[in-house]
Amino acid sequence: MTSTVTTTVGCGGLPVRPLSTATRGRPRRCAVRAQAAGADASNDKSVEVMRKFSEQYARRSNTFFCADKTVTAVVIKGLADHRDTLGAPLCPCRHYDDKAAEVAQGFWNCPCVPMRERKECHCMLFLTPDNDFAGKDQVISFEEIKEATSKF
Amino acid sequence: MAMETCFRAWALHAPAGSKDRLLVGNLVLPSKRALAPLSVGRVATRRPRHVCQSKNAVDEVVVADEKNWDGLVMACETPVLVEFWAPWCGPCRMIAPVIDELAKDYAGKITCCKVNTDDSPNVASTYGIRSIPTVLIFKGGEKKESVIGAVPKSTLTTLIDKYIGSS
Repeated sequence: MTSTVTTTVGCGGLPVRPLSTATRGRPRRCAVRAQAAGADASNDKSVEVMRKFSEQYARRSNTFFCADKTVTAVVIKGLADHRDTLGAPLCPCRHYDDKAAEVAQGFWNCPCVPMRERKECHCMLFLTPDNDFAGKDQVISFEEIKEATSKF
Repeated sequence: MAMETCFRAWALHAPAGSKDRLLVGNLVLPSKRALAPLSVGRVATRRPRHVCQSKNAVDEVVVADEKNWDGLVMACETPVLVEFWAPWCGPCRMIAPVIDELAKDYAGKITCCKVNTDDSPNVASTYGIRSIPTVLIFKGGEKKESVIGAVPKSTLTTLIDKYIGSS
């Protein structure tokens, strides 16, 4: 199982003056931009973590990424988002009534129980060699993921 | 406040008479502007912009959500195909073009909808959606069948034909 480390992302480097003396607009705009940049950097880190995990797990489980690598990229992005917001890479290809409870239970945290037990990945992230959609790759680059997921 | 400050500063530094000149400037009209000549080449008849479709057939996938669900799906007279998807679901990206094609192929015979489960969690929960993508088919406001996963187009056409034939 991949270890999930919660990282604190803040605008530590940005000096913030007290509101009572701040000039209207400018510091707030900068703060918002800095926060957005921070969030992007944090998500990029999660994407990289999930990318490395996916490559490692594909090799270990003798499974392959989808012939259409955009499917792989989208799922990895979804796992990264859940890692950011929930603390664990909850499967992005399911609907949950209570995501936090599902994370705590762990059944659908990637790699999910069906994948661990039977190599069944309905996300099509990890495909057994005999699967019609399986490609030949067990690698995917960060750039591939960014390109495939930036349009939506 | 800022505007008042700017105006006050301008007033203090404005040269004599500039205010009057500004006001006069506003009143000057471009009297020498030439009128545009009439276009002789304009065609007498023009194709109407909106072509009326006899059946009012929709040939694209409609976004369904919790607000329009009853009117769009439950009250629809033709069968309704509903795809439940999520933004970061990989297989959903594979099946979306298939649903688009079906909306065109079956325009007038069925309605094709898609539900973003992140935006409309209650609809998804009501119909027991777990795995994504899931495609449901409704007829007469009643859920008839569901198909789970990114299936080939032939699977969905078989399903649809089953429900547009019977009446």
